Amino acid sequence: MKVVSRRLPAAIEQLTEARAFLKPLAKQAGLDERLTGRLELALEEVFVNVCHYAYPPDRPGEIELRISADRDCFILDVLDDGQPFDPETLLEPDLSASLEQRPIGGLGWFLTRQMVSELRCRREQGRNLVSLIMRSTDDEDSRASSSGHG
Amino acid sequence: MDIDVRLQDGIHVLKISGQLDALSGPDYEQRVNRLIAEGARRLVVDFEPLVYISSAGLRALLNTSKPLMIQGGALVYANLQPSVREVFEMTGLLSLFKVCDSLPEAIALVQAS
Repeated sequence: MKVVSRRLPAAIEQLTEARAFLKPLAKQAGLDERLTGRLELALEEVFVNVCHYAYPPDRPGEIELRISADRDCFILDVLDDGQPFDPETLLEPDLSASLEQRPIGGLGWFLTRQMVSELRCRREQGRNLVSLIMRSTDDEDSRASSSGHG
Repeated sequence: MDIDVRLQDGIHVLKISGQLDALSGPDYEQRVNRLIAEGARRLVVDFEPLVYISSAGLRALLNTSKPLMIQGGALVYANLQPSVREVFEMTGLLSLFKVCDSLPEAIALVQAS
């Protein structure tokens, strides 16, 4: 499995670069437009989260994007060297709340989980690693069941 | 993202094209809230040329809907592309916001409210 990686400054403005890195590789791997769009959305959510929370404002850091793909599975890893983060601790958003009651934000991780076939988060050699995994054979049912893991 | 604004029968019709994301969300929020501050109370947001929305985009929608609702205004979203509709659906916004399948329908709904 060939691995391609790219390091970018952890800044929102770099989102365009991050997408430009992902798109041609997704196409090359045979991921269709719909799944690529879903992966693009998951990438934004994770990327923006790193930009906002991983590094202190006075110590800007980097984000590494790492892509590996084989015939059925496309993996986009997002790595940072910032403070440890565990998305499992985040609360589920209250989707039944009225417009007035609804807190702003909190939907990012929820959407990320919905968008990909599998979401994995762990520490790897002192770095945060979020793996966004997209299976081309994926269907709605398997996504619905895998998203239940939190 | 681009915003094209026109006034039709006292209703502000905003056509949003491109991507509503972490990069463009603040711009959307600022421009729509300025319209509201300037007195716009009846809005239709046409998402026909919008191809992408993220949680930052949704946040911009919530941050513009709330001030308008407080002012007693009316806002209807129209013409959601499947990918945008899916995000609305997943996050519960489809039942939170007024959403129509066509522009005339959306305009009629705002006029009636």
